[in-house]
Amino acid sequence: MQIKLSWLDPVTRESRQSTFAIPVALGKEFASMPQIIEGKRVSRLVLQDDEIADYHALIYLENGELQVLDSSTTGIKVNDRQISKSKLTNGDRLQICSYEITISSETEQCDRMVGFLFKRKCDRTSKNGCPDCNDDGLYTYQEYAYYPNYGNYSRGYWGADYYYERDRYFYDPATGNVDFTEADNVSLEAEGDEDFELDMGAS
Amino acid sequence: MNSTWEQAKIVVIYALGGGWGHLNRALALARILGKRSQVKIIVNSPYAALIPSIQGCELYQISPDIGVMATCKEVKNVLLATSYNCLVIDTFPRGLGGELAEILPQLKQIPRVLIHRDINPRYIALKNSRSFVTDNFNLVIVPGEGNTPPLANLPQVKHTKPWLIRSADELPSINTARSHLRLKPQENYLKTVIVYAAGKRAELALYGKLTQILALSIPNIAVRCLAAKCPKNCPPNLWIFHYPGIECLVAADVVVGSGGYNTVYECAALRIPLIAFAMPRRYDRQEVRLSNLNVQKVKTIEEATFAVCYYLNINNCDRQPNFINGAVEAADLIEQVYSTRP
Repeated sequence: MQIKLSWLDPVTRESRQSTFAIPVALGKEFASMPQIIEGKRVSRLVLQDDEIADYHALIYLENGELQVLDSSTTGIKVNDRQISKSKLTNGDRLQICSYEITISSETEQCDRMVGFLFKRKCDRTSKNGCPDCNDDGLYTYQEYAYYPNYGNYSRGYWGADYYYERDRYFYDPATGNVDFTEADNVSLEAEGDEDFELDMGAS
Repeated sequence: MNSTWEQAKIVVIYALGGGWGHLNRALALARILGKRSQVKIIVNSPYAALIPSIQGCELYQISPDIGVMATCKEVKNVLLATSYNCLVIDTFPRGLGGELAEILPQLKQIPRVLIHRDINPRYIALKNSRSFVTDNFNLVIVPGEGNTPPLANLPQVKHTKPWLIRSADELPSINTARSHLRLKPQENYLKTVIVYAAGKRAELALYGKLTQILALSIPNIAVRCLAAKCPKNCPPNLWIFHYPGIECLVAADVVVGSGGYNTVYECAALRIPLIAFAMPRRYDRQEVRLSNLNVQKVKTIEEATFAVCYYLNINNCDRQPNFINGAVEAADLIEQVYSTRP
């Protein structure tokens, strides 16, 4: 989900607007604002004003509603009212020191999905009532599970190993497609969920 | 432990992690930097207690057994409560326990250098380490691992040759190396096999057993197991501890060990055939390193024994060590970073 923020630069008086993925952190110092919150990458907007805190406020989603949270000591206002936390709706004015930012909550939902579909047993004990279970003996009681983070093959990303070692899997050179076995799927899932930074004797 | 690190031109090296790799890489750098600056190394390897003192270098040892929370707390105390001129982080940009993710953004005034040994790209992706390194390190040095490490294409990357604890002109003669191995007079004319038992303590028994099998099954060779402690199954008379191990490798005709950083690059520098077990590690990719250097990989003691026989029969006469120690160039790069700051 994305929001559009519009404001006047308090120094140059130029009109600015940008669209951001939520959550959005606002502050004076880029590096002081959080990079990740609850597993989501944070968009960071730097505002140039000495009175603005390094990390001043956060716009985020709570139960599907846009909220703004004050993280500063100088405070923020929404529609001229001092608040510490407030719901935001379309057209609201968020005031942070010399900045007045207009919120456009005409949120744009990106429907692009990048990831793998892995065939997985659905754990049903009966096909009754399931439109996806087939009678052909091949795919009975199976379904596809979507894994959103496994699609990037670039070097330094999670899928790089699997791309460069693709010959170890069933690889169709005509189409460039790779088929994973169910054992591979289980292995991939386990690796994706692997928790690092818990073993101080690791190397 | 010493908490009075308050002199000028101090370099702190974060070298947490098990085994010898992080410790040895830090020491390889420290013994060069230590001639001109004061170096403090934070370590938690159980092997740190076996290291002789190095001029200009001080080890800050954290017990390997105190757990994640206590280790991270102690690291935080050290890094935030003492003054220093440069911070060098080995391998783990966010720290082994993730503790540096909070600390490094508070240290923007101090030059920060990452030593980018190869590391599992899944870890890099899962922890968003690419942007973290971009934001929090002035310099990234790849110590001889080419373009394999996942962040090797960042703009602040510099490459050096592999870092070794000794340069070529510091190595002992073969006779001295043989004396380190305590070879008997009747073994002086035999080919020598060293089982290089580094890595996790739990893995030492494999090397002990291999030493025993090699000694029993291959006639007319001298076998020694180089390890911090005599491994289970290893005949005590075949066990040697000498630090640094590279001073013993000079006398070896074949080495059997792991795919760890020190073992692989020490053997490559000395041009000694290495037969290696690719040990599983959470972060290090030993199999990738061994494949990159075309090292003979084995999975069982039987395969290793067969490979030893094969390599002993290859005439290997070009053994004059003539390598470049990347730690020297790295020390220059790091000095440039902090000497330009007030």
